Amino acid sequence: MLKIIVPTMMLIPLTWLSKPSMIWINTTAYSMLISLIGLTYLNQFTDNNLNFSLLFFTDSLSAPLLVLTTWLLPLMLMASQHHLSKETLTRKKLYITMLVTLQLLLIMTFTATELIMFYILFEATLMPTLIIITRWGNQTERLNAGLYFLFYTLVGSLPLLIALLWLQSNLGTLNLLVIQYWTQPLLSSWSNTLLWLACMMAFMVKMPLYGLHLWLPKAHVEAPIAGSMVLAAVLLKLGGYGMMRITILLNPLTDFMAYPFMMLSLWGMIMTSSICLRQTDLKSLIAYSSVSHMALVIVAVLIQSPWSYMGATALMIAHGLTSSMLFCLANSNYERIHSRTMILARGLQTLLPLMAAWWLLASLTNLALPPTINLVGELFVVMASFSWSNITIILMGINITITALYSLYMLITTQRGKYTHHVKNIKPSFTRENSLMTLHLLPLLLLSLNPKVILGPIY
Amino acid sequence: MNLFTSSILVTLFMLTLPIMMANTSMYINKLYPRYVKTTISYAFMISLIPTMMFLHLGQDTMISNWHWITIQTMKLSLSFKFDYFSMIFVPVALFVTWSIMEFSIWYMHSDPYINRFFKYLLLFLITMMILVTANNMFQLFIGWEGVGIMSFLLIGWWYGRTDANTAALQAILYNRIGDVGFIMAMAWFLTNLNTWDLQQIFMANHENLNIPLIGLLLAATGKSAQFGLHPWLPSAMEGPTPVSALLHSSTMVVAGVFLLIRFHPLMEHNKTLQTITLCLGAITTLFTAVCALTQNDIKKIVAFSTSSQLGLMIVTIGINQPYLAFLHICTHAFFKAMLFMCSGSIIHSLNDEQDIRKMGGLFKALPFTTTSLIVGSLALTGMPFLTGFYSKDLIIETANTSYTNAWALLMTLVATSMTAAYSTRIMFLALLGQPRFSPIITINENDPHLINSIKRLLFGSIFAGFLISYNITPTTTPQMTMPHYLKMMALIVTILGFILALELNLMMQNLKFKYPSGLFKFSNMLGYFPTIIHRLMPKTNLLMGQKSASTLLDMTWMEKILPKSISHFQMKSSTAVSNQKGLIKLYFMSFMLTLTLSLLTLSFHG
Repeated sequence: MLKIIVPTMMLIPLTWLSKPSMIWINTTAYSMLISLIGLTYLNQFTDNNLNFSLLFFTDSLSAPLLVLTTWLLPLMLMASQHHLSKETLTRKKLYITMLVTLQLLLIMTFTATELIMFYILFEATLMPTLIIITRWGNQTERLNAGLYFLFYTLVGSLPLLIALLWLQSNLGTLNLLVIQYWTQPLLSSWSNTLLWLACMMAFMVKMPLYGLHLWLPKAHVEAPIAGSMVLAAVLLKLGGYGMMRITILLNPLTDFMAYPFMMLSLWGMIMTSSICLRQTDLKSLIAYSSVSHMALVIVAVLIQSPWSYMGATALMIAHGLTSSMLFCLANSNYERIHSRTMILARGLQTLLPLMAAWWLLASLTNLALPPTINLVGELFVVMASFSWSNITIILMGINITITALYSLYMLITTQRGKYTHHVKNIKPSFTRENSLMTLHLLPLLLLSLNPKVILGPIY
Repeated sequence: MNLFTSSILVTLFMLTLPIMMANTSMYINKLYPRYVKTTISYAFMISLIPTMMFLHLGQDTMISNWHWITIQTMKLSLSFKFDYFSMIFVPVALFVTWSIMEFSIWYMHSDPYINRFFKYLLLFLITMMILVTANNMFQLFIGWEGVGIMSFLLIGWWYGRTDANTAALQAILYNRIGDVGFIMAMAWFLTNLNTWDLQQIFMANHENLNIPLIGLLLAATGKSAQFGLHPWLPSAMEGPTPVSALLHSSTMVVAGVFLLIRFHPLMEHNKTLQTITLCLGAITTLFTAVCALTQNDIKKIVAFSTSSQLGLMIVTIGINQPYLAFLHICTHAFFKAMLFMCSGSIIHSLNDEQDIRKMGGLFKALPFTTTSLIVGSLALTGMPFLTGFYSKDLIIETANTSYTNAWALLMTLVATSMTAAYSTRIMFLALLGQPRFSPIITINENDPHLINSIKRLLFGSIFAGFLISYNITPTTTPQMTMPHYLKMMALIVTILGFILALELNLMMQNLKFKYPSGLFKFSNMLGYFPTIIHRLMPKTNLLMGQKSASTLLDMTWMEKILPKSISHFQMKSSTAVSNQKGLIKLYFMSFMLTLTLSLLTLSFHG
């Protein structure tokens, strides 16, 4: 594990010691190399997991998320170059340092063996994210967004700490590898219900569950591009990952406790999708679409069947790449139009045809076109929920329809139609941007060829 | 691997070549459209080999190539099914596409992105091939969604036009509703049968199949524009005419019918579903025929007639005759694609005029197009010994002699008669009489691309029905004996439709409505369907999205309940409880006092 952690740490001195002209290229290239090292973890040759030390391990559930995290750092660096071009050198370096720190913490979170270490790192990721949002956001509302982000997540996760301490004293260990053999069935009682809530709410807020999602659109909209990317692609997935890890402790109470949250998610995904239909703000639309997709993951995790776990894992990876790509596209529009409002950036296909192709592909993956992994994920979740209860297909069906609608609405509004006069002299799309989109899309397409590596544990 | 599989794989592989060539300098070449067209014509010719072999030997083949994924006990692999349906449909689709490609070279010649257009058409064809040859539901779904997305792209080809974009989105929306049915069927098969392979699905117990079959019917309703989800098909006429000819007449829209034919082994014992299917088809065929009667846009009339014929195919499935429905798919492809191409020729010649009231007298100016249009219309109405006759007459006969549902049968017969009526109307208004178009228009149909492509389909419209029905063995026993009036019924209603329409047109030609009658308005406004459904539903949904989901819940209640109320409560309570009054000197004073006192006590302690 150190072969990833140490190089990632060394990215910080690399940033500070590089020549001013080389900071971007150096960090991007090295972080890309680091992400290539991580690819080997996708090959889970045993049925169990890869233990690196007492502290770190990966299995088929965390390995894809780990790879996604490492893959995203070079992309974030590439995406941020333009909007930092006006900043001073020190600030640029500081920004990169923040991203690298976040990356480091995320890597350790996904590979932590001890639940309490997982918890500490989970909380620690808040700090760099908060700094990125509140320091480098674009508008004054970023402070409010940072406040929402911090308080929602903290309030949700503090009970988890208490629950974990109690579990430690009760079970004697919080080691994820051991705990599954030592865990006791939770009987239905008030205190156990509270324990269940304490364990799950932290991750439900992070996902976010509908009703507790208010921080997400704010944070997404106000964050700079790298912040939005990492939020959508990785930080939300911490919630899903944590839920999947901790539910082994909470059986069989989950069967009974899941109902209200399941209902809330099923209802929420339709509500958030229909909010998407009325969004004028591009970034906010993508943020709400994240909420709606994550609701599917919550449903899948709460159903707790092999198929639903596979679907949830696949959907998390697929959504990570897709939403990150959509944010990049929104950012490339923002850098040209200087506004996130969709009607100000109409008809761009005429001016930027290659960018229109990226938009098209991103929208198609967002609406889960077969055979992309987005479809694999969504299909498995729908299968699992259908076998849980046949009626859910109605809600799922409505959501599928609305998802297609708002994805294409976004595509049509930004790309099709006549272009407006003020966009006549915009810059062409840069190679940097095109390669950024390619690097998002390539994993999506390649994973479609072999989705097994991201399906998590195949039972 | 014998000649059968290898040649069919060559056919499929050849189609991908121009797509791969799109990365080379070939793509910026002006000859790319011709290259695509020629490739398809070769693919057609090669695809005839396995079809001939199939006709000769009658062997079903299933090949399984590339193992994609195994999840628990379910194996998914790339696998193709070459049975009766795919082996007959592939050459038909390739033949029609070949002609349409050639036609598009002429029709789209001034388009700056003609190469991309051809690439899209070819991509569509590939997804359609995937759809018809798929052996498992996942692969079928890839083709199914693929044709939907390609139709979105092709309808919205002229992306600067708002109408085109709206029509494209509308097509996706209605298709997507159908897809939900497909996904439901997939979910059901997975949960209950643990397989998506067609062979294994067909081995299912034939009880309680209502849920997946309703799902499949919903899917077919969306894709094949059956009543309820039909409005996208006429709207899709916003796309270029070659697109209408390929997607919205001969290939994509029959995918729904094809799906039902594929899953027929499950349906043949389920009487409930058959009745629903029959009624759905009958309503569609009548309703869309009524709508076609009063339309003025030539493409819309042809589109509604397509919808009506699709309804007829669904009726055929409803009376448990999938092979007849399939025969009608094949014959329909020829003359309907040709009708679209003829209207494309007229529209192009008249400087993009689509209104049949502004045509007239074209039989002098466009003799070849006129011939083809008339032959196509006659084939459509089921004139004996043209292509349409071989399937349509048989369908009506079988429906007449079946004992399922007299009401549905009656509706189908009325619709059949109306087919003749609106065909007469096109011929009468567009081709006969005096010219009503602008005299400065120069009309020229003497382009070999146009003539050859239409000519090829013209031969198809005359002979294909005979050739196909001569060569295939009848798979269901046809009704051999029936009373005269039942045998002649199809012809009688068609001729009746012709005569009535002709008389009405002749009589009413110079008369004017004082005001349109209610029936006329019903038909002309498409049964008020778009007015009601397309205004009310989106408005309610969007209003709900805005008012209740976004403003009320998200921006008001959730803000109020959690963050705002907590911060408000904290603020109030802290101001109420605290005695903080901003007396900074006093606070510092007390702080210093405490500090000194504690230091003093500590030092004395020691």
